[in-house]
Amino acid sequence: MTAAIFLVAAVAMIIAVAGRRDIAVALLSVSFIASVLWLYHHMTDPLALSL
Amino acid sequence: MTALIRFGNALGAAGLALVLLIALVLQFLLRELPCPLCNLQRIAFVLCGFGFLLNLRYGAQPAHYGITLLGALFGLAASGRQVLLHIVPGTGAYGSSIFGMHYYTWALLLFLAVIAGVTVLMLVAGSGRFDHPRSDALAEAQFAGFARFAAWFLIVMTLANAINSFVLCGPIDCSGDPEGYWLFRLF
Repeated sequence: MTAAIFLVAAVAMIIAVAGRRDIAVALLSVSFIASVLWLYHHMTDPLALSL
Repeated sequence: MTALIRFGNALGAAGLALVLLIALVLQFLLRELPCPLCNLQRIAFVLCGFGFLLNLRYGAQPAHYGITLLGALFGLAASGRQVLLHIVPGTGAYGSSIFGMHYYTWALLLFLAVIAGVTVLMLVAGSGRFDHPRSDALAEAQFAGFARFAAWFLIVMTLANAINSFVLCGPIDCSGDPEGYWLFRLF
């Protein structure tokens, strides 16, 4: 999954450099949303904190 | 875009690419595999760099800085989470420490530095004076030298991380504490 996120971000950057800003930002949005979902997926371990 | 702001954005993009390069080099030198949260922090550096890249290619705009700040906030969440996992004495740590701090602590400080850097760049730009090149041809013409190098450096490091992540984790999920490369275990 992280490989796909990196790949989509890289493609977005290349498209941005090529001059298609809107497509690049759309792709980056997909990458960002996937990243947030993936972070949530991995935030499963309870923290060893107590007050 | 003033030369100073353009240089600041190029420095930001190149600096983030350098962070990704150092992380990869240390991964192979120290033979320490990145955990899922570590990879997410690398993704956050890429997201931060994307905003700088857009500024270099299309001129400095608030929306581009917004993307960088969003990436930094995401990075703070990922690195902050990992710091909290190990903050209690006796709960161990992940990976080696570099100059007295672990990778995730360095990452947390770097994301704060990105926010500080963007703040300075926006202050230098001043209110209402963001640069919008009149045509894409003009914007592309200004996208040269160090700015172009920084952008492509960031793109190459993002692609390198995509390959590294695929070799390490495969197409789906990575182990919380990876002990080997997924691709090499196939053969």
